[in-house]
Amino acid sequence: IWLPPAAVQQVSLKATIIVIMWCILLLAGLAAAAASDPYKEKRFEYIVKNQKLHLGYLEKKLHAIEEEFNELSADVDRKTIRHLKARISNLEENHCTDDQSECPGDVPECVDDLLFCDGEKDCRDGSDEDDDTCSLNITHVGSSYTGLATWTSCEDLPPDHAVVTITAAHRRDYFPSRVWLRGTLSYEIDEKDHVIHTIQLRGYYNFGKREIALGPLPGQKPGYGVICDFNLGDDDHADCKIVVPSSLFVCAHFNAARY
Amino acid sequence: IRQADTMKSLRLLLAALAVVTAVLADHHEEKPESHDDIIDKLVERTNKITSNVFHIESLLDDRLDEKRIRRAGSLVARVEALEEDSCEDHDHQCGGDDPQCISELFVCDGHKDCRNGEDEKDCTLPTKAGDKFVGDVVYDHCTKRRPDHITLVVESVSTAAFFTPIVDLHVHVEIESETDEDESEVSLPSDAIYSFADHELTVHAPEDDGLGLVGNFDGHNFDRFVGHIVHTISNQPCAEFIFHRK
Repeated sequence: IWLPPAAVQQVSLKATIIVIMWCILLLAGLAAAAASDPYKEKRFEYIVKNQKLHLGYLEKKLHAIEEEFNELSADVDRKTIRHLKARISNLEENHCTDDQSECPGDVPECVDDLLFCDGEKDCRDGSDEDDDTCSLNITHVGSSYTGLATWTSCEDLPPDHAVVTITAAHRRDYFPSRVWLRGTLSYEIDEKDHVIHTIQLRGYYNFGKREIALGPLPGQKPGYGVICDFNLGDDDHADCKIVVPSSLFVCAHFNAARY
Repeated sequence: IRQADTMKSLRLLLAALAVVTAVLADHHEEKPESHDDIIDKLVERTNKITSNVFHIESLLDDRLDEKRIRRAGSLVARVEALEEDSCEDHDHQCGGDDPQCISELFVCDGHKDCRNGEDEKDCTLPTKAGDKFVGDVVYDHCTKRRPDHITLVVESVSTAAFFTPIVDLHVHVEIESETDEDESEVSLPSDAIYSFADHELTVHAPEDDGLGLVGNFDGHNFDRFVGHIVHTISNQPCAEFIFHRK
């Protein structure tokens, strides 16, 4: 049989196309079969389900642990610990003289009160010039400290509220280790009619001792003075005494809190 | 006719291709992606649980933090120092909920003498050979050189196998001092003992001036101790240094 070359070409072309077509169809069939293999799909679902169950179990267990943890007593807040530490160190021995205070750092050196917050480091670790030591928070104008005053002498009054308020504060450039203050002391003398006695005072704040000392204004008849020691670990609580200005004899005592 | 055949085959081929692409597209768009999604979600959930576990673990660790426990212990020790001694002079308080006094010589001797076993619990020596402590002066009324710092170097440690409550040490006391005339540096060798019962380090007088050093650890913080220079005869303290481990 003789066929012209063109016809041979056409036949072989057709055959090739048919072969390719069948191949593609076969592939398509295989792909479809692979994609929809029901066993494979089931196995996948089975694994996923198991993992979900396992995770759910872990979540439940974790939740139980969290609940148990939350039932335990909460952490003590830092303030309580600061107060506790301050009360302990107030009880501890202090070998400084009256004019001296302990450096607040780890080494309790004694340094003269007049050298605290004067811009020069006098404690070996410089803690007499720390920001915490020299905070002016206590002497902010308008600061008020109040507590229930118990009179032990001087006045025949039942325990009642006393308030110390800072009305003015001034720190001299050439002598920064004191803050000069003006303030008032008010105490209730009649609980029923709310008669309140207010006296004007002046004095200073001592950084080393953390103490406010207020006495009567010059020219006024000496009434009372106030001494407040901020020795409870923060700037908001003080141990205050109402005193006779001349002798510092204690008339009344109150634990003051800022308000 | 042959051309028409060819065209037919070509059309068939195109149809087949369309089927294949459709199947493949189907295959790509839905099934595997949804599988991936499911797996991604599982992984996400697992990560969330893991981070929650880490969170609660860190909360627990915060409570169990050894530094915190040590700090609290130091505070307790300060209060105990303020309180009246609960045991006789040479006795040791077992402490805990079950107070009991035992002789100091029984602490860390290898036998449980306290009912709560406290006397054998904490017997690691804080002053090992090679340890160095630097002390800053608090006050000083008696030393020869009035230094700002004293360095205590532990040279060697020896414990008698038959008597472990007290450890023998060999130490050097290094003092750098500066006066107007000269700068001097001395290293004074001396013997010392460490007693586990009261966490006390006693350095015998290295010079002939009869001044020794007594260092008291608080029993919780072993990186710091309060050192008093004492007249060894009268046991009167006349200088105080706060020592820190270097």
